[in-house]
Amino acid sequence: MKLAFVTPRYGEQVMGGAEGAARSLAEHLVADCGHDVEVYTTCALDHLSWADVLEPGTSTLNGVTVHRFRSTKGRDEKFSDLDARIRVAPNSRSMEDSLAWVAANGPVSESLVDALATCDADVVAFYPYLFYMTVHGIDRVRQPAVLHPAAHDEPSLYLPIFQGVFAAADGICFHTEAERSLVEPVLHTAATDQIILGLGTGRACGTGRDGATLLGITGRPYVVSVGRVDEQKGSTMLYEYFVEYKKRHPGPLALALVGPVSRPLPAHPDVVVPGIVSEEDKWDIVSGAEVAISPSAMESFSLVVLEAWVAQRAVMVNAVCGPTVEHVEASGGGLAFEGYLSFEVALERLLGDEQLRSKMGASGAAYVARRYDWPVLIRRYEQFLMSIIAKGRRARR
Amino acid sequence: MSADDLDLDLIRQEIAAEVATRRASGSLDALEERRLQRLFEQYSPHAGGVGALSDALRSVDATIYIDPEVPVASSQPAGAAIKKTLRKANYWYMRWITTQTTKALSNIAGVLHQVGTEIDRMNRRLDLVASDNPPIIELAGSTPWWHESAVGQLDAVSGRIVVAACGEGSLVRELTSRGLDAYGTDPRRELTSEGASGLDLRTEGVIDHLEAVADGMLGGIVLTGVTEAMLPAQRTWLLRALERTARADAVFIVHVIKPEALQGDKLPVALELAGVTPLRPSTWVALLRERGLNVSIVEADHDALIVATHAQRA
Repeated sequence: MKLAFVTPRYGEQVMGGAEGAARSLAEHLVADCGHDVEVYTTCALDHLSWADVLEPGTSTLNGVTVHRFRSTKGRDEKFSDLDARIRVAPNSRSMEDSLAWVAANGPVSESLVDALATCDADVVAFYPYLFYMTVHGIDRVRQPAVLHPAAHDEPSLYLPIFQGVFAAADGICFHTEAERSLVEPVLHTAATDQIILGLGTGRACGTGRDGATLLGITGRPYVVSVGRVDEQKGSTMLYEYFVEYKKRHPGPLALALVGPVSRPLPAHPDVVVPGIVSEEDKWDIVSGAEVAISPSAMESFSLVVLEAWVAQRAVMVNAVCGPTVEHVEASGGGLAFEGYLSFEVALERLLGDEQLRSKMGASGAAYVARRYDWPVLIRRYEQFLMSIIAKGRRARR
Repeated sequence: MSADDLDLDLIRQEIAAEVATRRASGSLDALEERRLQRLFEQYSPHAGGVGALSDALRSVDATIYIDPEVPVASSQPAGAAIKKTLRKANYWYMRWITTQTTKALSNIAGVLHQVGTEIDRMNRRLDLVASDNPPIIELAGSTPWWHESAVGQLDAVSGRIVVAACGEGSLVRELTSRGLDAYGTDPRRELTSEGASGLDLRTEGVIDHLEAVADGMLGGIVLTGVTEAMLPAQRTWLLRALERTARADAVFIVHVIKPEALQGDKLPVALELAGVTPLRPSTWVALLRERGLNVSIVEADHDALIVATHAQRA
């Protein structure tokens, strides 16, 4: 089987997110199943500017053939205004508004979309739904098209343009049941071939070093949150909640916010922000934490929650984030909070009960092994793709 | 604590009770809690106007207050001081504007709350609120004699076939083994175990599912176990959904249990609780004929198989 992924950015420098997920699937299809996989992407790495920083052309990364195309436009300077406008009743915006929003969101690469028309893969997978190359490319491919929406409850999901994008998919690959429940009633995709796949988790690759020492807080207990340090990801809220918690619970407990920093937070003696760390450091830091916290309300899967369970840590998640709550409900691996007081009480409860933490960590680990072990997951994906190829290209806008 | 000792529901209840106690005791200043709640709700999803009205109203409440205190943090060395000076100079103006804006937004939110309360009151009066999806009613220990016939009827359809209340997917399997493009839905999670069977089985009720199907997508619709405990309004909705989601050449299969097979000791608890009387097969035939469909029926002792197609197909 030959599969082509279409994604706005691709590479080892792209951490997590939908594009990171696309790379994981691509590399596992090559390494575990021996399939031929290529990627159509831009020369961008930064998801805010979409500036071309890599060379266009074809290269190979971990067995995957990567075709890079220049963008004619990155993120438009008027995007924020346009985005703010469509937030009001997005489902009643015109098609012109929708297309303008997609173009302003960037990256715009006509040459990438043109190249898709001559792609010779057996199946083309678009990942995620809201970018130019998916909106304009899903109709251009001759082969069956699979859409990995990676959707969350954001205004853009309700723009009329996406009715057609989803209708043009021959198969849809959801991360979680929560994502499917969100998408189905909005985009009427229930009768489309689909699978709830999720993502595989890596094996813990820590080296047994003390996480607190790596963070520069030797001897102190800490809770950890891994992911982009960004207001929209809930980092500011978590910071404020933790500072309030510490006011009411003085002691040595610290908070570590690990990941690329989009928005710097004020310095605080109980909060450490090491930025991007190596995989080994990340696993050692997570393994040494008392509790792992996912404050984001906008996740379509949340690999970091699953990785915390691989490290046998109990987790706390945002109660309005469907996918992470779904993980917690299905695994018994943690608790959800819906405001400061429930954050405080849940954290107190977990910190005060080592057996409970340990049990939750073990339940989470069992859940991950059951559902998201790469060998099992990649075979399910392979089987799904084969079934879509067998049915052929059917969906058209 | 062993693996089975973990009672998550109990832990959640205890946490909720403790939160209520702390809130009632005023251990956290109400204004401070509101500020922290705003942070929580700032990026909570309520994007497109679907979903719970109460959630959307909560987020409206959380964003009503317009703060005249413009943030002054800056990455430039003197930036914060300059911003602070500007803020001080403009504060009287900002405060005047924000106070009026907040007042106007509060009034609008008040109206929205009244509308929300009225909608809630109306919903409570509607039968549909009782259940979005009807409970599944099946004959105990029955063998699906009708499967073979259903498969035969669906053998030539084009388009996808959905089997409602598919259980573990035996009919879906029969259909796919004949090369048909079939999938199933069933709200009973323990039966569908999505992905495990290798079949496309969804954990969803029939109403939720059909609501999310685009127009004219289905070539075949099989209803079994879902019609017996339906409320009249649900039945009306279902019939409209069948028309909307089916292709012009679609085949409808309705498997119904005869009311007399669901009486006395055989009356399922879910059916008794639903408080409805199942329709007789002949009533289903009449209902489908009323909608202009060609209908045939095969009856057995306890149940019946009804096959309906559009007139032009027949």
